[in-house]
Amino acid sequence: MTPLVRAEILKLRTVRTLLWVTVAMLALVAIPVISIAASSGATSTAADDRSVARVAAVAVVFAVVLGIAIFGAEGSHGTITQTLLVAPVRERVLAAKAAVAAALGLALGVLAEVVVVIVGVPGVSLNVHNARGVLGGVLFACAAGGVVGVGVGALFHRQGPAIVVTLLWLLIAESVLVVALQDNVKYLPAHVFAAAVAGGESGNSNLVGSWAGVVGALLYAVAFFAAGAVLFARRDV
Amino acid sequence: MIEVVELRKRYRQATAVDGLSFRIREGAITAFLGPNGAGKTTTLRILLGLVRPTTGRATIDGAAYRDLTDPIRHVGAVLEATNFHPKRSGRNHLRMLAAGAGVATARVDFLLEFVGLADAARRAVGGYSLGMRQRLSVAGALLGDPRMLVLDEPANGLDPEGIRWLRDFLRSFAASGKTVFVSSHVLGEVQQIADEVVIVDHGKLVAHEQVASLTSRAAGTTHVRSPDAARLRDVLAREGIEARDDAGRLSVRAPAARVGEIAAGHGIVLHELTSDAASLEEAFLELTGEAAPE
Repeated sequence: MTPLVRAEILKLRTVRTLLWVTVAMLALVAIPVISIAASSGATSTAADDRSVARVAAVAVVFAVVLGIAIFGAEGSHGTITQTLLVAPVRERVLAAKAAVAAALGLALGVLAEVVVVIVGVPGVSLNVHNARGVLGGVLFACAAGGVVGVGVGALFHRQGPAIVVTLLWLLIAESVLVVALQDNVKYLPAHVFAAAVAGGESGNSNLVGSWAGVVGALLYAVAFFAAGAVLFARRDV
Repeated sequence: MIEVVELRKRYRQATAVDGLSFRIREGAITAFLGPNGAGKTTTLRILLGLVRPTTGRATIDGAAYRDLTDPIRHVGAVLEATNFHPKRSGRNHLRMLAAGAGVATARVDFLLEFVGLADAARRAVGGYSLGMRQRLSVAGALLGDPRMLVLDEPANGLDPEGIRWLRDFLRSFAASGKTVFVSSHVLGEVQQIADEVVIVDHGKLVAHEQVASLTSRAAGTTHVRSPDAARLRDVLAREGIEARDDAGRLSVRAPAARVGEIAAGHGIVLHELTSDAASLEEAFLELTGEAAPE
């Protein structure tokens, strides 16, 4: 582990952001899964299994938010100045943040899936084998989402505006853009990530195929990281 | 060695630094002075790789800050005392910086003791006074045991005891052959500790010399007692020199020799002609032509 990665982990361990993100994510995964288990019987089809497993995809949103916080909190509190005095090569700082965000995003995905499996298997007889495409896609999307978050954080420099704009984009903007873009909306980030966690149920007018979604999520992660890196390298702090 | 060569920083509306060049002598305390908005902070931030210059260069030991290997072992920096996460403890703040630089935690604890924050080390920085934050900044700057210190207004928020602590610390740091480059607006404080001054105004270099040489060159206050004081004041006024009546004698902002020559030229008898050396503040005023930084 490099000193910069160690420093990034220490930054997260010494404030409560990671704790609150994890608690909120676990709650938003557990509540719907428990509710499904309480109101439905056993899953009867592979599509039902995938549908239940997709609840874990909520973790992707939290991975993005965590990635934004990993960069944006430093901009908001001004600690980025001290970070850059220790490590003035900004690309390395951003790479360390992206590595930590990807790893923690993956960890959030694992936690979310553990909740889904622990509740879903006994509660609705969830067949994990049928849902493996969804579960694998969620893990990948969470890791990629963390990197996207770091890139967005670097673009905005401060976490507040970055989180607000990202959530507005995910919750509203792409839905509105359907009117203008029609089928092409499936190439926008939220739709691409949705395809990545679809587990074989995509590849229609609304979503690209699952593998295309995985590749697209990877490309978005690279693009947001690169854009953030270019702006961060040029920004006066 | 710190070197600034033809440095320029232009923002959309304003030029913050305008062709600035100077070189800081090693093993000395050099004060960086100028009115508000003169370009001091921008220059320091360019030097530390935080702001990109429009043209020119600022180097430390011949290299740009970002090209230094282990930069915090070359130079420690104290910038604003607000750059802390309010929920993180002082100790964890330093641990975080130490981890990034590969510095052992034992040094963190040593420095917390050194700056007098050991008792508050585990408290959140949000509850620190401004003076405590400044001390924490100093501790952060010393993590790499650097050979140079760059400080931007380090006395801000310090109480008299804190200012004395800072003064003693900077003196002992420089006494060990290390270099201090410090911007400050507390000119009386600077005069006590600085060997040299770099004065900037509107982004340009106004003066770079030893404090003693600067203050001896600047006009101090000359005290004159004369039985013909009213005529002397008129004569001085005609020469563009203002004289103030000060308890029966005139206080004149001009060198004693000049006042004596003018008086002799007009046949005015003098009973007293003494002078006080100019303070750094008076020299600063003369050079910048503005109100002294408060």
